[in-house]
Amino acid sequence: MIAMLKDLRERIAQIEGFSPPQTARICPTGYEALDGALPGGGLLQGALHEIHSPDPADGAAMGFAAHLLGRFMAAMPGRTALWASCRADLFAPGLRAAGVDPARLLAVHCRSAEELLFTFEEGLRSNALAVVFGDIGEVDFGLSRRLQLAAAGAGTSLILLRPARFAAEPSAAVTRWRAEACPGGWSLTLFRSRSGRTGHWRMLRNVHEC
Amino acid sequence: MFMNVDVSGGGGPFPGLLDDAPLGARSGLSGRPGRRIAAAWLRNFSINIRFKSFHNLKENPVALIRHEAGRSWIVAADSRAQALGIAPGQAVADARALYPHLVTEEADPARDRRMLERLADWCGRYTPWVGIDAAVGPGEAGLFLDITGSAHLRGGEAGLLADLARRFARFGLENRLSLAETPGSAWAWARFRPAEAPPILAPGTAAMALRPLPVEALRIPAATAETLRRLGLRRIADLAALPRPALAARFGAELLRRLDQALVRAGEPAAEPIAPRRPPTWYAVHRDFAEPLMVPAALAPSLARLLPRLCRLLERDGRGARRLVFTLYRIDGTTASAAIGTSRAARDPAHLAKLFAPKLETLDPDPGIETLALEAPETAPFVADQSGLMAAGPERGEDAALTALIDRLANRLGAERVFYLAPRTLHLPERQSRSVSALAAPAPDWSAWPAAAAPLPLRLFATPEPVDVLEPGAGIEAPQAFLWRGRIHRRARADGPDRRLGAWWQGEMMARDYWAVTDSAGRRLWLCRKLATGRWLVHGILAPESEAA
Repeated sequence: MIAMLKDLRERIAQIEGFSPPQTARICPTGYEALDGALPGGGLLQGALHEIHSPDPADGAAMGFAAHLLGRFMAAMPGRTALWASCRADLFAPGLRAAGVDPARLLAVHCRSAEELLFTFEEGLRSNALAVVFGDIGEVDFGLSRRLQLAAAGAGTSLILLRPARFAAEPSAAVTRWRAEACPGGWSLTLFRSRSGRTGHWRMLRNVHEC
Repeated sequence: MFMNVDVSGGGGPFPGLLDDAPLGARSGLSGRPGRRIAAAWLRNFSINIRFKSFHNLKENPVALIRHEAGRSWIVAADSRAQALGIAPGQAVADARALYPHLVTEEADPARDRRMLERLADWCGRYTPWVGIDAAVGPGEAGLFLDITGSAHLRGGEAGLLADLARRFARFGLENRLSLAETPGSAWAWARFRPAEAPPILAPGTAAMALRPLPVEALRIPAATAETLRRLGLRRIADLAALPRPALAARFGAELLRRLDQALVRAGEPAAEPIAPRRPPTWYAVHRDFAEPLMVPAALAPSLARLLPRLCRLLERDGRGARRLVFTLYRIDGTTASAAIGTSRAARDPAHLAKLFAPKLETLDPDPGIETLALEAPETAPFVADQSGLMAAGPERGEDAALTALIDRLANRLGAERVFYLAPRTLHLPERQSRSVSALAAPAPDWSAWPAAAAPLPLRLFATPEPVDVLEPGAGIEAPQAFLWRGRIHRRARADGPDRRLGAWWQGEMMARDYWAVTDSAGRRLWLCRKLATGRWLVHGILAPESEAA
């Protein structure tokens, strides 16, 4: 019975374009509490990850994204990262202060979701990048699966920043996060994780975890 | 400027242009110095382009007319109307008296000009140097083609002229062509040569051949021609026999200049260069089709055949293409083209074909393509990718992969949409970096940028958004409470001020104080106060604070 369940889980994972991290590379997030909860001690490379933001006026998700961008770039020195968005509003001095070298960030200003998807796929397939980041709203399950497969095939991660209203929709992402401000700091919820546990963390000023 | 050396000795303006024709065809050109200018006289251009499709009007003479200040007159008339005595300048009422069923339409000089420009573009299949003739009467048009060194590509001078005449005729254009050493002599020979004379004037023969032609062949104003006639100077020979100072004194320098231009006199002041309609390129290949290409699917394989030929030319000179233009010349005299750019000099046919792939869909072959041309208007020294040569060089391969990615994205989305953020030493946040196309520039250097002394946002609003201050802060401090985007924000913390000045010439006018304001819900906004107005605005969103990881 247990063997059957395990087999079934693996088959579902395969259908969803996900193979469990056996020899896969891991990029630690740098937050001890998170890395402890993530299988392998960090985020899987060559996978789709999502960060959801409840409010455009809330910078927590973007802050977490910039932090991860810096980590992924540090994991592959010499490689460039790509940021694709329908907004051309990245503030280079701010990114630099957050640990992201703008000299290694290729920005792509798209006009449509179609162009975004084209950019994501070309970026993943190029074999030239440390990581691909993007802002996107609607992504149906089929598309997310396609992106997850492309990321897995290339060994390059794709991290999508999405409005939290899409959290209820299914996605093939390996991890799905929600980041938001809270009094005294910000909080992070891992509400979906393919092979680890979910969790909730509070990142407070001068207090690591509570 | 870099120039390609033509190994086969053509030495003309278009040596890079190699055809599938055998190279032996070019030898007819060697040892023949000087320019070769073709002139086309399209004597009923306005009528031809307007009425060519109106087959049902075949029987009735047609004319173009113009109304002005209550008067209507004939601007151009076709040959049937002219045979009836209807001529430009005539009042429409008089023309109708001659032939009541005359078909008339209003002239449209702007449209005529556009059509002529298109025709000139189409003539680019022969040479980039195509000029529009300014000395034409009403309803007429004329073109000059500098075909120096390129006639061999089209079956020699006679072959080229015959080809041009045949195509113009197919476009429905009545035409008379000539070929000579200067625009002046070609112009005269196209219009005034005897019916039995051949259209081509061999080098050195213009002065002799033009002697019996009337003085009107000199492109001079009608009034000047009239005066000359009254004085008994009817032919060019009569003028050529007179002493130059006397001519200049009586008729001005203009007549002498026109005479020199027509008679190809050495050292004359006005050489009349023909400006290229598109930048001439030294790297170009083309392919003619005996049967017009009709299907869009045929474009990709045809391009795939042209690319290696162009790349071989580039390779010979150690160069790569930065920009490529693929032009199709259609049988109806129209053209269409697609261009690609590369971030680094490239000459790999497979890579270039990939960049062209999305653009080919935009090219419509209809009604048929007779020539395809591929040119590299911008080239640069080619730096070979060393990935195969260097033992420990995985970055080299990644470098090439990044270049290829930039090329693909930029050609699909637009060069300006794929960019790096380059630093600028200015203080206002919106001026601190600028986008530079990754296609045009290498990755910028941020190593000299100073460490941030104050909290900074990660994204910046294109336009700062004003807030309503509900409870001001003390002195210059950020407000205690303010309304922004329909929500009341209460200040829990504020870091600042971070004063930003405009450029020195802007003085205090542009100065702003920035504050990182954390509200009671933990959200952090980048507020600024304009010193000049005292207004508070939100310019960006900051990440909430937390202990560094």
